[in-house]
Amino acid sequence: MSYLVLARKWRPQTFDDLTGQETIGRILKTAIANNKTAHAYIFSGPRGVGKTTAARILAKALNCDHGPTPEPCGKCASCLSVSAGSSIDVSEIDGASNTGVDNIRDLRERVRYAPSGGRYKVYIIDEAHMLSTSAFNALLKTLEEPPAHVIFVLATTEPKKIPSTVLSRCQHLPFKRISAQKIKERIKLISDAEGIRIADSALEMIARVAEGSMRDSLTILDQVASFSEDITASEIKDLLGIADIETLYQLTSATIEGGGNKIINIISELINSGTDIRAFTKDLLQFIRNLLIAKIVTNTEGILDLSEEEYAAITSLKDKTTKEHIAIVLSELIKAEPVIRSAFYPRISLEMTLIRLSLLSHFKSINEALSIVRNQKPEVRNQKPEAQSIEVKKQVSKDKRQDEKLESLSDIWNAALEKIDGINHPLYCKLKEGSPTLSHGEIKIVFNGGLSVHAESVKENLPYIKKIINDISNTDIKIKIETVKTKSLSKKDLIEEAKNNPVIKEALELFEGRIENVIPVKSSDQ
Amino acid sequence: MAFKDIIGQDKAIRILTGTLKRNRVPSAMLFSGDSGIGKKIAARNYAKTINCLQLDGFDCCDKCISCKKIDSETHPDVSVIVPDNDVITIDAIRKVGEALSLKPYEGGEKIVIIDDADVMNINAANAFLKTLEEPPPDSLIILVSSNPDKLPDTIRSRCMNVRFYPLSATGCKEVILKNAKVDDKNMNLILNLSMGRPGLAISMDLKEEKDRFAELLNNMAGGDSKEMWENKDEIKSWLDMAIVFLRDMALRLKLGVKSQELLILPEFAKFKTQNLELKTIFNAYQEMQQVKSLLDFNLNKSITWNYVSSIIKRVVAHSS
Repeated sequence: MSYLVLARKWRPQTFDDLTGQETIGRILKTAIANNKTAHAYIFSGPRGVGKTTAARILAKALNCDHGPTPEPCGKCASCLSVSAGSSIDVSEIDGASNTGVDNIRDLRERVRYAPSGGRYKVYIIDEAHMLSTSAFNALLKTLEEPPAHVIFVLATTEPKKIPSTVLSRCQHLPFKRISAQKIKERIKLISDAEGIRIADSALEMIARVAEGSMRDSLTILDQVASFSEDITASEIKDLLGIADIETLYQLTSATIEGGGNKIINIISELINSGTDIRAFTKDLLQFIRNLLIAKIVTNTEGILDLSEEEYAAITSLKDKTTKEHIAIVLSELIKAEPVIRSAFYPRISLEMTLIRLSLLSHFKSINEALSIVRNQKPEVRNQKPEAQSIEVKKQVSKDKRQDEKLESLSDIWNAALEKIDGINHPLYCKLKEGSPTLSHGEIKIVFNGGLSVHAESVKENLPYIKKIINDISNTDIKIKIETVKTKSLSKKDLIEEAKNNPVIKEALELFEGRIENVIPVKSSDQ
Repeated sequence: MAFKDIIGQDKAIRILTGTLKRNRVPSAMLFSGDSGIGKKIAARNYAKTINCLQLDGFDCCDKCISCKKIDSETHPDVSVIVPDNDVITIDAIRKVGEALSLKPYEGGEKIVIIDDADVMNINAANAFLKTLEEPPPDSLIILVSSNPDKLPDTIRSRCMNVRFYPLSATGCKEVILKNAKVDDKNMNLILNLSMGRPGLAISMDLKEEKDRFAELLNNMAGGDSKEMWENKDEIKSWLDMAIVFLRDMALRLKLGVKSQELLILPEFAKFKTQNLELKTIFNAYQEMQQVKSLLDFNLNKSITWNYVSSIIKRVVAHSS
């Protein structure tokens, strides 16, 4: 007899065997025990989590000679014939091959006849999402009120494709991905029973790679079992083509630090030793994603499922740069991945992408960049109309008495504003828009561009403002109102100005970026 | 040919012989990996080995009647499905199901090899799922694909995935020497361009390809558009080569002129990079990628030519 793959050989035969779907197992068991089975079910969920298996167990449970029972015996003629796929009362229909309305009409004809041996006729429609719309519609009446002896089970990986009229007539049981821990336990049991010698770490790796699908994990186990007698984690890595962490580490750090030569060398080594660049790019993507998550989240436990080696690599990379930098590298790589996948020379595309990203090595986060700008403010502001602030400082340094006042200007101003606010709120609002500066012993209030409309009304109240300020500061200070019309601070103009800045221009071109917002740097001595 | 003649796919061969050794031949397999690295040859040899009448260890004898029939594609139990008009339809898949439902004619196993399985359309793929998961006894389905990501998850999860990798430089050289006539002086270039895929170097003349590329590139740089690409396929391969060219230019600019890593540039040394900015090359690269992605639509050849020349001139004009 030919060999039966593990996934088929170890197909669960009872609800209790169904790994990772305890809730659904319980729902079905209780329904059978209480004689409350629905006449139509939809089993949905990703590949390899037990939909078809559950449907078959349900069929067996209902038709078992000792039943209907939540625990089908698996020994009686009925159970055996269901397992072998030869039962007359249980028909498994391939929805993807019998998609048409004719197939469904045929089914409706057959549904009317009573079961030949068992209690129920169970129709399992697998891959139900492939049925045509007319086929679904032809099924509606039967699905809503089938004869008492008929139970439908629709199994599908894509419940979204099932019309809502069908969904509402069925009991919908969504199957979940199986946790890595449960997969591991199950494949350990199977490999022990099959006499496959496999290391614990290798089992763990298989469980992780399977991404919640039991069939995937068993297919991999099948493969490694034919590869070697004593299976270790490194063999699985080798077999599944999982990239070496050390290489990923080197390549990522070269990209972050801007080592163009190193990138080229590493990739050419990969080529010479025979590597699938497409698969490698995916691993690199995953690695950088993990790096980003490790950078953002303080406690990675439960979020990242990493091997020790990977954890060490990520920890040492983590402090080399900022999270914004990693995020940009990651998003660029995600954009480039489909290009690499479809390229005739994937190597070239990967190299170009990484070299381009390595030019980012001087990358600074927005906050960092802003703080640098702030520290250099005098030079930056030199080009702007408010250049007088420097003059002010010079003037003031000559006059020590004034100096003290300058320091307290913002205090005086704020105190004055507060007082005005209590008495005349509209005036306060207008004054708030102006920027006061102190020079030659007088306070100059400048209204910029469009704000100059306030200037008139402020001027009217000038004596009043003066009195308040003089009261607070105990000195006699002149107040002058000025308007500046040259520069309006409208957002459009700012964006235009930013666009013309050569540095920004280059940055935009390099990253195909656009200007989202412009926030003018506020002077700190207000 | 037998397993022992397949060069550079030790891992895959070890899995395949392992399934025979441990009597674990599955019912569905997926051979994945780049094109031109020996997947289909391995699949055929696997079929030969399973049905061989005079097994040589765990390898086929390559002499018996069964092996010969499979080699000449006349074996009644071994069939190869190839895409028809670049697609595998549901009809082809239904026929596979029917063929597998019969008993083997010669008492071995029924084997179906589906080449380029990823071009199966979505209906065909779904209709295949049930057969693939639980085929009748004594059958084996081998999917061969250079783009396994295009196959639905549900298909992939039902198959034992045997991965094939691009060959190492030495392995690649060995295969090329065995199958094609190559001058020693062109060897390096061909190895560089095939990037571990000897099938590429065997099925087409990479040297000629590069010469043709150079000719058209010179035409472009010189503003001469009398001769241009002949058809869409040529545009495609030309653009692929142009991307390699741009990559080499970028490397030379960044790493200095003499570098072992340049793939084709030694031939194009006359294009200088002194006044060139890296940015220009990257822009050109991105535009090339875009042209490439648009090629599947109905692009006008001469307009494409003009556009591509304008990109190329930006890179080359700086240089000459």
